[in-house]
Amino acid sequence: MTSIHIAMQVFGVIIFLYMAAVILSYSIMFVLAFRTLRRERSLDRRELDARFVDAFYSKPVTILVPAYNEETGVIATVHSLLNLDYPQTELLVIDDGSKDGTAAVVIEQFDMVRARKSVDPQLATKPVKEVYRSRIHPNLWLIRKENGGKGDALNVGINFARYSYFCTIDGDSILDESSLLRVMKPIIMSDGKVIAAGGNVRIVNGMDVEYGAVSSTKLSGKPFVVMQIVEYLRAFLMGRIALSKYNLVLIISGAFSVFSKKPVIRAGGYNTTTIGEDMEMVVKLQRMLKEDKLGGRIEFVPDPVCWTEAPQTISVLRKQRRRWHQGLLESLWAHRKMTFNPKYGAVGMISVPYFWLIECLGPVIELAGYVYVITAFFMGGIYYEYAVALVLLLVLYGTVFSMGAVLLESWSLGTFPKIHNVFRMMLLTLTEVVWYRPLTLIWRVEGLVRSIFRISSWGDMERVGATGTKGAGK
Amino acid sequence: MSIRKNSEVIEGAFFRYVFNLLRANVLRDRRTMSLVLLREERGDSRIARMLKEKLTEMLREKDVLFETEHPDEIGLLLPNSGKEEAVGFLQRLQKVCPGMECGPFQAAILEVYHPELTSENALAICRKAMAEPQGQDGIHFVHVESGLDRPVLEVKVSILDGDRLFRELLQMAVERIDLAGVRLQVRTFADGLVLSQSDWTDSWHPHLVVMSDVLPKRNGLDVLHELRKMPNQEKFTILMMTRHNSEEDMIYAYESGTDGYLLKPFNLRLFEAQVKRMLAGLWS
Amino acid sequence: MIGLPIEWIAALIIVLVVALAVFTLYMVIERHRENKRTLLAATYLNNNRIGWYDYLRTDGVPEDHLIPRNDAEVKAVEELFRMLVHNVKEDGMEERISGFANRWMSGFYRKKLNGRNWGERMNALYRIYDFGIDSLTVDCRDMAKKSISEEEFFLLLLIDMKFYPETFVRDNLLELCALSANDAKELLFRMQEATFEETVCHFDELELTIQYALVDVIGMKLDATYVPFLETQFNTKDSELRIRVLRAYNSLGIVPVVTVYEAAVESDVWQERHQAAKMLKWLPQQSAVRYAAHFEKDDMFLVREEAKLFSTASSIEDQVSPLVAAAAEDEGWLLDTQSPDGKGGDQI
Repeated sequence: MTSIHIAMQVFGVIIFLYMAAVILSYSIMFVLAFRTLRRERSLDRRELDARFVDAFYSKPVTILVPAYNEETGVIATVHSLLNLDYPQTELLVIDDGSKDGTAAVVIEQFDMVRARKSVDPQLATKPVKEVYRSRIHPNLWLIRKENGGKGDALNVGINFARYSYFCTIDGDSILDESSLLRVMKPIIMSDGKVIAAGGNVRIVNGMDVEYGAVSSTKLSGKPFVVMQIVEYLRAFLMGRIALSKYNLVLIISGAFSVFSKKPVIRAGGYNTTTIGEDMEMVVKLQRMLKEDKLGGRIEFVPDPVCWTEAPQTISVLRKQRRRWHQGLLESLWAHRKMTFNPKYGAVGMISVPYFWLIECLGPVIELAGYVYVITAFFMGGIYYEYAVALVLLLVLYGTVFSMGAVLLESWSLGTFPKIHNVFRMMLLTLTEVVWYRPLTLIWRVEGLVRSIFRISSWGDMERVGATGTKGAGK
Repeated sequence: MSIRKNSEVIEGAFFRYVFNLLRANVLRDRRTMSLVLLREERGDSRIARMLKEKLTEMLREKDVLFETEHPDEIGLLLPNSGKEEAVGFLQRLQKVCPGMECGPFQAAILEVYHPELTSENALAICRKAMAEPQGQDGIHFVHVESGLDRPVLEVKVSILDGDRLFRELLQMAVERIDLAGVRLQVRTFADGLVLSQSDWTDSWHPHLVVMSDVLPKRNGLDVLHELRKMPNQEKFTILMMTRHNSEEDMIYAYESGTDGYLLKPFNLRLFEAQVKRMLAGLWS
Repeated sequence: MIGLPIEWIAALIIVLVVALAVFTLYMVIERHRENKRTLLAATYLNNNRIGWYDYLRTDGVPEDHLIPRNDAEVKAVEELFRMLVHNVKEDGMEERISGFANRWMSGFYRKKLNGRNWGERMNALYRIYDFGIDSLTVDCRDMAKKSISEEEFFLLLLIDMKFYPETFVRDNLLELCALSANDAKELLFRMQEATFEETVCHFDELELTIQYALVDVIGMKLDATYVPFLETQFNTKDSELRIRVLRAYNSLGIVPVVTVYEAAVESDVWQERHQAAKMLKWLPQQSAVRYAAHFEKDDMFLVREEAKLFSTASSIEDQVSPLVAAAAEDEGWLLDTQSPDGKGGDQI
C-alpha cells in the first residue's frame, strides 16, 4: 500500500471519528435543550413579567446603544427601546464618530438639546465630544465621541451609565416590549448572583417593522436569509441553552445582553483592540469569576427576543462570518491559559475546550471532510465507502439537526405561526449541505487564517489578558 | 378684571351684531352667556337712565350694556356667565345703589347658548316672563328659559392600550356614561402610530384621550407630546394609565401636559367619575 | 474493511428522519387544533363581551351562555379575568371573578395542577392566586408535600398566604427560610399587614437572608410604624443587618435617634457611614453642617462624595452622580469584595 493510501485511510478515520464526536456532543445538547423547552413550553411568561414590572422588585437598567453609521436603523431601535415595558431605564445612544448623519437624525427625531450628564470615568476611553438630552423623553441621551470602535463606545457608555446594570443593544436591533424584563429575570431572581445574561437573537429580515415594533412575523423570501434564520435557531438550541444550564456560557450575543456594571469595570471594561469584544468580555468575566472566586453566573435566556438585521448579500455575510471566527479565535487565544485548566472549573475543562475543538477547529475538519469526499470519489475503489460514510455524517450533521432545530423551535416557541413557513425552512435545510454549509465553512476558515496572521503580528498577546483581569485597580 | 370708567351703550342694529358675535363665541368656547333685561316698574325712564349711569361704572370690560326701543329698559349681556353669576351681579348692583336710582326694577335673566336664539326672540321671552309689578324698591328678578335645549356637544374619546380586551372594557365603560348634552364618539387604538396617522384628531371637537404609557410603536409620551404640539391642543384632555409606580415619570408626564394619571390596576368607578368630571367641565 | 458502520449510520439517519416526520405530523395536527381553539376562544369572547360586562359590573347570576363549555372557552375566560385582575379593581368584581372561577373553572385547574407538565402547573398556580380559587387550596397543600420546583414552592406559599393569612406564620415560618432573598422580599411585601406584623414578631427565628429582606421591605413599605423595631435591630453585631437598617431609615426618609445616628457616623464599616452621610439632607441644618464637615474627612471616597453632594446642594436638574446612585441601588455581591474607589479590595 502506498503512503497516499495510508494517509487517506488515516485521515478518513480521523475525520470520521471527529464528526461522530461532534454529532454526539450536539445530540446531548439537543436533548438537554429539548427537555428545558418542553418544561417551559406552556408556561405563561406574562405572569412573570407582571411580577417584575413593579419597580420595587426590578433593578433599574441603563441601555447602551453603540452606533456607528447607523442613520437608517437607529431611529427604529430607539423607538423600540422607548417602548420597553420596564419600570426604570435610561437610554444612552453612543455615536462612535459616525461619518453619516447618525447623530443628526437622532437629535432631530427626539428633539434633543445639549445637556450635562455627570460621568464617572472609571474606564479610559477616546474623548467625548458632546452630550445631548431629549426634550420628549427625559431618559434618552446621545453621547458623541471620537471614533474608537464598539468596545470603546461601550466603555464610554459604562462611564456615563447612571444605574448599576447596563444592557447593550446593537444600533440596528429591535427589542420586544417584554424583552428587557425577561432578560433581567435571572439577575433579579438570583439576587445579583447572575452577573450577565444574554437574550435570544433572531433575524428580522422579511418581517414588517414599523417604529421599532415587529408587527407580523413573516418568513423572508431569500434563501440566504432563511438559511441564516435556521442557523441562528440551531446555534441557540444546540449550544446556548445546554451550556447555560451548567454555567458554561462563553458567548452571549453583543446584540442583546445585560451586565452588572461593577464586575465589568473590575474586569477593565471592553477590550478595544480585539475583534469580538462581546465574546472577549464574557470569557474575561468567566475567568475573573473563577480567579477571584466570586461565584457568579452568566446565563443565556431563550425567550427574550432581540430582532437583528442579517446580511442580505454574500459579500457582507462573508465579512461577518470571517469576523465572527476571528473574534472567537482571538478571545480563546487571549485566554488560552484557561484551556484544560482545572483552576477554572467546568468552564476551563469543558467550555473552553469545546469552543476550541468544535466551534473553532470544526470548520477546518468539516471542510477537510468535504475535500476528502470529493477526493475519495475520484480515487474510487475502497474509498467509496469512506466517502459514503462521510456524506451520510455530513447530512446527519447538517440537515437532520437543522430540521430538528426548526421543528423544535416551532413546537416550543412558535415564532412562525404559519405552518407553510416551517415547511419552507425544512425544505431549504435539505439543500444546506451542498451550498450554504460549505460556503460558510470556507469563510470561517478564512477568518481563522486571518487571525492566525493577526495574532502572530500582534506579538505579546498576554498583555490583553493581563490588563483584562486586573481591571480598574491600577 | 379691569373696570372701565364709562361703558359704551349700544343699541339697534349694532346690538344685534354684537349679540350674534358673542353667541358664536359662546358655542365655540362652550361658555354660557347671560342676557339680563331690567325694566323700571313704573316706566320711569329717568330712574332707568340713572341706573344706566351707575352700570357704566361697574361693568366689566367684556360685558355689554345696551338699550332697546323702550326707554325704561336696560339690557346687559354678560359673556362667560351663567345665571348664578348674573344673579350675583344683580345683587351687587343693588348693594352699591341703595338710594333713589335703584328700584323698583323688574329683571329677567336668560342664559344664551343655542345657535338659533336671536336677539329679538331673547328680548321677547324676557319681557313676557317679567313678574307683575310689586311696588317695592329693589330689583326683582326671574329666571327665564328659552325653551331650547343646550346644543348636543360632540365629544371624541380615544382609548389607547396594547391589550384588546382592556380597550374594549374601557370602551364599554365610556359608552355607558350618560350625560345630558354630550354625545360621545369612542374609538380604540392598539398603538400610538395608528392614532397619529389617522385624521381622528384633526377636527375641532373636544377630545378625551385615555392612554397607556407603554404602547407599541409610539409610546404614550410620544403621543402626548405630539398632541400637545398641535395648534388647537386645548381641545385635548389627556388621561395616562401606567403600571409603573414611578413618581419621576409621573411628574414628567404632568409637566408634559397630561391632565390625570391612573395607576393600574385602578378602580373603574374612579375612572368613570374622572371622565364624567372632565365632560361636565366642558360647558361652563 | 476497517469497519465504518455505513449501514448503521444509514439506519440511524432513516430512524431520525422517520422520527422527524412523525414529529412534524404531530406538530401540524397540534397547530391545527391550536388554531381552532384560538378561533373558538375569540368567537366566545366576541359573542359574550356585553354579557360579561353586565355580569361583572352588576350583581346577579351569570347567564348560561357565559359558562365555558370546553377548554378553549375556559382559556378565553381566563384571558378576560387576567386582563381584569391586572388592570382594574372594583368593589365586588373580585368576588364575582372568584365565585365564577370556583364554580366553573376549578375542575380545569385541578387537572392542570395534577398534570406532569411544569409550565402548566405553574400557570394553574398563578391563576389560582390571581382569581382567588379557594376551592383548590387543599389540592395546593397536597402539592406542597410532593417534591416541587423552587418556583412552584414560592407560588404555593403565596397562595397559602392569600387564603390562610391567620395561620400562615405558624405554618410556614420555617419554610420562608428556603426562599431566595428576592422571592422573600416579594412575599413579605405582598403580605397583609397583620401577617407582616406577626412575622416581625418572629424576626429572631428567621434566617439572616430573610431578616435582611424583611428590613428592606420595611423600607419599601414606607411605613414609619416600624421605626422602633429598626432601632432595636440596630444593636445587632451583624454589620450587614445594620447597613440594611440604615438603608431602611433612608428609604423611609426618617433620621434615627441620635444614639443610632452617632453610632453609624463613628462606625468602622464604611457602608454604615455612607448611609449616615445620605441622611444629611434630613438633619437640622446646624448638625448637618457639622456632620458633613466630619464626613468630608472620611477615608472612603463614596462617603466624602455624599458629603460633598450635600454641601454643594446641587440643583435638581443635575443627575445624581452615577457612582452614588450605583452604590445606592446595589444589592450587590461585589460591594463586599471590591472597594469602589479602586484602591484594592482590603477595606473590610
